Amino acid sequence: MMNYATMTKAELLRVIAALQAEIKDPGTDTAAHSTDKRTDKPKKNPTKHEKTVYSHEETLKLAIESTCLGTFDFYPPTGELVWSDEAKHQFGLPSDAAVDYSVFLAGLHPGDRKRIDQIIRKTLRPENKGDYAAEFRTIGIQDGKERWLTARGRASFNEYGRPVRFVGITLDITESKQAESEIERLASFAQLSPNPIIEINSSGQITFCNSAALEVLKKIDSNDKYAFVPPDIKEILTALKNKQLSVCYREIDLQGLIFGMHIHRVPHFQAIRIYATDITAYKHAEMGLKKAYGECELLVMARTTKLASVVHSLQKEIVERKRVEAALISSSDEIQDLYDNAPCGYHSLDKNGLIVRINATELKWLGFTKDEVVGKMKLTDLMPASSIKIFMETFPILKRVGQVHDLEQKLIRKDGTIIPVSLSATAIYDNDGNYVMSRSTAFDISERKEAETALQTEAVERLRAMEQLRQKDRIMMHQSRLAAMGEMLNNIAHQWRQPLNTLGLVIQRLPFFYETEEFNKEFLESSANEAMKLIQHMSRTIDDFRGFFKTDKEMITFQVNHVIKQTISLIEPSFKEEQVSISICSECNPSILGYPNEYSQVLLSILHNAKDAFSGKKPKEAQVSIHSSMEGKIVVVTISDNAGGIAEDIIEKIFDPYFTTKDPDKGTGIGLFIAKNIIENSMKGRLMVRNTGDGAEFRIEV
Amino acid sequence: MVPPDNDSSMVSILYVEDELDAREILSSMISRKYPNTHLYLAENGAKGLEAFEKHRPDIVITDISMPLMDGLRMSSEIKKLNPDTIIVAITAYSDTSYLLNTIETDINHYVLKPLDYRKFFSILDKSIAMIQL
Repeated sequence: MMNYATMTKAELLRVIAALQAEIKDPGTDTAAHSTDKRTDKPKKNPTKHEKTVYSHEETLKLAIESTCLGTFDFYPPTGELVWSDEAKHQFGLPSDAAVDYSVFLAGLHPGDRKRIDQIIRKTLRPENKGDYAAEFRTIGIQDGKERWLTARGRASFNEYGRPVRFVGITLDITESKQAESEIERLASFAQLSPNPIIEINSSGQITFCNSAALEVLKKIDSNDKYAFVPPDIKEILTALKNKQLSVCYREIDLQGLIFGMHIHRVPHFQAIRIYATDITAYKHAEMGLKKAYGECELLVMARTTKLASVVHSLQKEIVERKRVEAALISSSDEIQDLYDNAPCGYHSLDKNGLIVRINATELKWLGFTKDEVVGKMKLTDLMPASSIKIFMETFPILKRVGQVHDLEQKLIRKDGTIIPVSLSATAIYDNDGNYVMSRSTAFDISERKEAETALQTEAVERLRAMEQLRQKDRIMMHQSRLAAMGEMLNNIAHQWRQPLNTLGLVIQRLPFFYETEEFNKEFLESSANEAMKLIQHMSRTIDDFRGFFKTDKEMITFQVNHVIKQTISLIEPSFKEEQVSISICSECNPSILGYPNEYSQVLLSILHNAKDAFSGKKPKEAQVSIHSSMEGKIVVVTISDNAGGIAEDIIEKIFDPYFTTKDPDKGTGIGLFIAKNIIENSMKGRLMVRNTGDGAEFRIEV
Repeated sequence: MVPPDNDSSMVSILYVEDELDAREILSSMISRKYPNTHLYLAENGAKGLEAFEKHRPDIVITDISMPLMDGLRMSSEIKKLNPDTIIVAITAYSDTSYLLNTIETDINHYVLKPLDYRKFFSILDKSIAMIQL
């Protein structure tokens, strides 16, 4: 036999259903048998079939009894209702109580009565196949106890579709119902907790999330439940799993709402529970508190520091006072020593200028003893006439104003020699403001005086040296002038040579023609014109050179190209003689504020230099090119030749005075030095030189 | 004052001078003084050499400082072509110092500027006489 006591409710119901099916199967004589069954007594001589049924019914009865199942058997045609004892018990009735359908209805909980009545009426209609299942409450008719029952049954019908029998079982499920509601009640703790509670499984997925948690998410306008899961949950899970931790605490900030979360592992369910508490207010309070604490701390610190400094200064004061006391004890001797042996002289004069005090140092300087001086000599007794005069002027000032400083005076030693001193004095007055005496210091300034004299001598020396230099400069300038004049003379000679020659030819022609028929007035006039033309040309040449030799008195604005042309006209003949051609190329017509004649002198120096560079190394076509242009505000004139350039070892020296590569009779070596001076000192420009490859290029920037 | 000299009919003269005025005046004087000579003119050394090659004159009168080719170089070229050519140089005083060497070899006579007709013509007279010998 099966052990029904250990069976679950579902298993029992299944068994019951199987039995019912077997009961129904024999079919036709069900009604006949039922009469016998109603008595619950087996027949004396039952058929084999009847025996089987009986045995089944016995089994059923046993099963029913052992599981607290109630049975009901209802005969709709007669209204007869048979309940087992257990069924009666379930309705709060004693075993001997008589029951019918109205008793059944009366025993039902008023809330369930109508529904159950309808279900039963429905079951008894043939179209509904007769299956019955319901769950309802009863109120014990006699004991008034509320019970939960589950009922199963089946109605059978006759050939006319009328219900003839309705049998079934009822089971008291009050306890399981109570347990269910208990579970529900317990679950509501978590669900209805005002604090968010989240459960996650061991793989970190959320398995539970209470309404408070959802409420929070709604508040921050989010639906991500995982917001409650701390970011380091994996580590936490591992730690909790390995029992390194039993509980873990985290704080998270959900858009300004701060939650403190206790994370527990519930090993029984393999779950992690997170109990969150809104600690926003607490956090804010904490922050406020911290701040207040910090401020408080600072205050205390400040007070403490102040106190410490006060203590410190007090201590220092005490030490200082002790030191001063100690010093005072020994000071009077020390002061006397200081007074007497100071490295300067001290003395005091009364209102008449009588020496009333004087220290040993000053006495030593003067060669007197104290007794000879104090109260016996006036300071003026120790002074030469020039110093007495100053003293007479300043002593009244000292008495009136109270001090005089750094008077340079002379004192006469006992041996008659003079010692120069620097005197400073302050006056001492009595309470009524009357002068009592002076307090004077005297410094021996012999060394200073000597140094001053030496300095003066040196200054004179330097002046003389400078004068010599200036003289040298003047000589150099003069030399340069002479050199330039020599050049000019040479140029004039060249300028004049041709016209002089032609003039000679014209004049000599006159006597030559005299006795011929061609010699007439016309011939004479044309000859005179020719001669005058030449003479005027020569005269102009002299004027040009004279103009060049005039020194510019003040700066004027001049056209560079004009000066270039003028300069070239002066030297063209000598260049021609040397077969050096000159070309000018002007990009524009720039003007310079400066000294045009000096500028011309610079050009001449450079041009002469270029011309001389060709002697000895004449290229096929000796050429000097002058190029003028503007670079920004600077006027640039370059003079380049193709004479091979300047040797690299001397190119840096060519502007040095007296530097020359030429024979002594050809160059003084100051032309370029003067040129650089004119451009860079007088006109604040620059004069440079470089090698272009086939020659030298001078560059004048003004 | 200018006696025509018929004996010089065979003589030809080349006068090289870059200065236009001087060339014109002196050439007219030479033509007048020696009407029976052939007078060729050139304005620089290079042109002078060209004219010499063309006309083979007996006497060459030349200035010294001239562009392109100076009188000295021209003279030395001419002497190479015909060592018998008589060369008369007209030179400024300042040129003489460095002329002295070459005067010995290439130049037969020189006259100083400013030119003195009497000296000049006496040299020319002598030169023509030499050629006509």
